[in-house]
Amino acid sequence: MNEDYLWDKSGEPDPDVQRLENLLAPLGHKSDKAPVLPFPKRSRVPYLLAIAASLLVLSGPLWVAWQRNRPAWNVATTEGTPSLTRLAKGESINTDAHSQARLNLNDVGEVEVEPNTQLSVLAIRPDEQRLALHHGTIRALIWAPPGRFIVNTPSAQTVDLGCQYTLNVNTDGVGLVEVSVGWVAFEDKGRESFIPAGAACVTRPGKGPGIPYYQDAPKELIDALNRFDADSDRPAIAAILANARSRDAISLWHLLRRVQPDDRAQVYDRLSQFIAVPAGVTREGVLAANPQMIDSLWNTLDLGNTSFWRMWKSRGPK
Amino acid sequence: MESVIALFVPVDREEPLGRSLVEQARDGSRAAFGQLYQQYSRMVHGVLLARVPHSEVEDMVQDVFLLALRRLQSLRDEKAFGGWLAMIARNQAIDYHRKAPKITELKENMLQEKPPEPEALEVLDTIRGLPDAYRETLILRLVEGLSGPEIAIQTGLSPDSVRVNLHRGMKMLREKMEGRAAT
Repeated sequence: MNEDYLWDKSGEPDPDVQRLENLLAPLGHKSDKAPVLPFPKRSRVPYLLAIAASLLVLSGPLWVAWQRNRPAWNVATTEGTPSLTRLAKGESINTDAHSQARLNLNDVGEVEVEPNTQLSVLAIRPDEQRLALHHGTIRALIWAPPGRFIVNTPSAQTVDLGCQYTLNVNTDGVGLVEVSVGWVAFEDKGRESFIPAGAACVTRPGKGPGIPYYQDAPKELIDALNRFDADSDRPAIAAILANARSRDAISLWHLLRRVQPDDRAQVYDRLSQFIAVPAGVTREGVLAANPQMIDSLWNTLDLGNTSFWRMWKSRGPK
Repeated sequence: MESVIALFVPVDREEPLGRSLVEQARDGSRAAFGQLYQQYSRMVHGVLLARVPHSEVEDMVQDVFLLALRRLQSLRDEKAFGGWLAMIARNQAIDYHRKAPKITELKENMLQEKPPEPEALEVLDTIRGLPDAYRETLILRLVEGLSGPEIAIQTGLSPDSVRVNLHRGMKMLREKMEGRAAT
């Protein structure tokens, strides 16, 4: 047998192989038969791209003009690399460990963005300026009318009531507001905390705003409040009551609204030692969680009445 | 009804098989795909003929190429086009036996074409009785007229494997044919 011929048809043909080739060739593929293939469907992608490009070109000047006139916070980099000059609705600023920026909006105020912070603009409207602090720290100095500057955090919204404050959100989503001037309200799903100048308040994911406390309060009181806020720790109530000063009536008032009914009496009794219980407020009514009576107790603290603090409610949920 | 277009594309047998045509076909060139058809259709026909009735093979060749056309975007290594196509053909043959009715439809081309020589069909049956590796290689060589190197390139097998399969397959075929003649 001629191996070369079988392999590559070279050399002297092998008679057996050649005979089989001739015999079997009619069974082979009819190469003159044209393949039938689907008519190529024209892709729409090039046309869509062309249309999109045309629209882009035509709308370019309009886009630029719209961008220039679009309301936005002015951004000034005070340190580091952020290169933004404007921050409009839907946009974010991220600062690294070596960067800081200052946002300014004429009729609203200034916001300093500290290093390692992510901040977004959710709304820029005459009646509402809303930011979202995802993590990091901002210092806000707000001269807009109360209730118009709001910062969302992962666990509460911070409503400015005309003030200067620092707001921090850590990587776990826990927020801390420290108020220097004026008033700030924390609110989440109906749970509210009123935080006056000199006070601070923690807000936790899944739990919402905690109980505010003055920053000069005894450490034992602050620790006990944290335990109560974080774990609803009943033994912490005794520590709170034991360490509260007259000035800490603000914390006791918030505690009164958050304890279980069985614990309400001891909190009310301690609070009533620090304030002049107004006419019309009864122990029984407070223990029954009468909201008007509890609000009346707040109004004796000389921190403004509750209707002022709740002005964000007229806006409805966001 | 789906529109169709028939492609008649001259084949340059000296061109390197596959690579650039696969790229063009993947980019949507039906002309390039037509050239691939011309280059590889005999191989596909042979792979099918080793497994399914002769009367079914021509139509199935078209089916294999249509399937390959739809799946071409999934082919990552264009150098593997031949082996990939052969695999599609083998799978189509398996599907045929899984789904095919036991009664073969009488097709129009059967009436128009000269029927195969009985001896040719007998030899084809003998080859089909050989082990897989031998029957496919022998059919590609003896029926489709591909040389050993062409079989290696088009199926993705190594030249050594093809050479061994051809040698052993041919030896086995001779023995079977001699045995049959003796009876």
